[in-house]
Amino acid sequence: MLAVVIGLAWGRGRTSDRVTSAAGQSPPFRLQKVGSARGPTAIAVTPAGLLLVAEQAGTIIGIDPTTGKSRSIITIPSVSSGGETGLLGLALSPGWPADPRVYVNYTVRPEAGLRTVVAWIDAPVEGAADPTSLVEVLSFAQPYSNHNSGSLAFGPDGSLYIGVGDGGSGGDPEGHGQDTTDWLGSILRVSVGPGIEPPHAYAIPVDNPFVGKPEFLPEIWAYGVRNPWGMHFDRGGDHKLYFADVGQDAWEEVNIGVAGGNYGWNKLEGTHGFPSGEPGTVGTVPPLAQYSHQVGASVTGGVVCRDASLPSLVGTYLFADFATGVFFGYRDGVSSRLASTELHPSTFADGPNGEVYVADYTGTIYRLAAAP
Amino acid sequence: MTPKASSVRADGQPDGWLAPRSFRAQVAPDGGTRLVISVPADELPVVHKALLAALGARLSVRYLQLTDRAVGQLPKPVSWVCMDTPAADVLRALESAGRLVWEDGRHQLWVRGRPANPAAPEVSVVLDELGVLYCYPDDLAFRDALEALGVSLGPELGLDARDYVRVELLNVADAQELALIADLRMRQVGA
Repeated sequence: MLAVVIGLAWGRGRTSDRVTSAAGQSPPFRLQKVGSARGPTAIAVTPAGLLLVAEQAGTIIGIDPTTGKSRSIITIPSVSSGGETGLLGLALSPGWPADPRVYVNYTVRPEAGLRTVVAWIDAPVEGAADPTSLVEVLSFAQPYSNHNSGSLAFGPDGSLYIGVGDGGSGGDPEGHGQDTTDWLGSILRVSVGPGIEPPHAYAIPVDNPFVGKPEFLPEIWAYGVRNPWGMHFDRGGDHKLYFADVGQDAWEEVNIGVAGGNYGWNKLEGTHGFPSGEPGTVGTVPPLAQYSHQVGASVTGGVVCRDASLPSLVGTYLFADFATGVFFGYRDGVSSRLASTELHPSTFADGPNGEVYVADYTGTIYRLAAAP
Repeated sequence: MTPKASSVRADGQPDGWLAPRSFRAQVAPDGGTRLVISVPADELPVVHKALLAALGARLSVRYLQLTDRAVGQLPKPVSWVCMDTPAADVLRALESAGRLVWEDGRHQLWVRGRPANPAAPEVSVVLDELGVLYCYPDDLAFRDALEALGVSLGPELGLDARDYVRVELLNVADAQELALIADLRMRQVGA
């Protein structure tokens, strides 16, 4: 027997907050650490500027970005976490804190198999959030463990928009993206909140685009999506919905939400036919921007920057790639690569004054600050 | 059972560290997700085979030779591969070469499969030279297999995080290495 001794010096340091740009250009922002979280998947910001951060394992923590202090607010019971499952979405009631509901999107695994649950919970933040206050809004089965999306956002119309992935596996083998008789592969729009109390968990807005059409479920607002990751309503401009849709083999895309829109999956990946890769025309709504897997592998939807302290970015839709840490910007019909980082950006959020936050999945929450 | 590797002090003497029975979730260097699994040496074959069972019915195997026992660490690893091989054949070959696979630190073993439909993403299990297992991506099927064997999510770091390790190279594994390559009809690539 021969023994070999190998000295190891594995890197154990945290992710660097270094931001770089193309040669000769200054990075348009720097990363300012404001707190820490374990596997952050979503952030909601209160009107007072407190960050509510969803941790994938099921806990919501509060972070004061001015001090970095954090505390656990609530752990959602029964969350099944791991891989692409867990606590994946978070949105504050538009009336918060008068209406202290926080909406969550998470997965559970009862005997019958994996399910997504959208629910609300009383979380006044200053008080003790009570797990027993959880009320289910809707739930549905997930045929595979991936592509659970989880994105939640309230629109300026007060409706709750819910991103629903295509059910998972690869290539959408069951065709949910184009199947409008189930919720998978769609963006749903429902009315929730005061006035809609159990036993009614939600109402269907009368102006939903497919109400009264028997080949569609009435909750569907748009369809043909694969795994919408990061939905955001611009707090300025015309308050449009922006969302990213994670690609399959070759293309990542970001989109503008359009009522009744078909985004093409699984006939299209970006503007390319799937799986042929040839130019395609099935979708009615082309992506706002797309990038190939030579640049990244998994898009994370961001926010439209409205932070006056970042004047060069105001009006730019910021998004990033989870795998490569590249940050992109879209404005006036042009998408550009803004910066390279070592982050794994898992979610973005914006604060009451437009301040932009991004979470690094490995555990740090940053604010985008003016570059020196 | 001989561990593939063990933790030692800088002078090469054992430091008494024991591998925990746990797994961690990580972002892999390529930006994907993975599980990093540490188990005591005598549990490695069972856990490894349970993870391989989650890969589907047909497997691709890459045997990455890092060290030649006669000459030491190779300047460049040598890859041997077989593609689209019945899982039962792969498991049978691994069992036959068990001391090489689970007790010898000269190699890494990369096994890929596709458990669902043909368009589903590939999943893989890597056994490294230290006896640490990696599952790509972090998936519930892997987590379920681990939990069923009492391997739980935990913060404990495995042998991959130790500063100094001693890797074992067994005489008996020389013949098993040749036999494994022959049994699986592996071809050398990238030479």
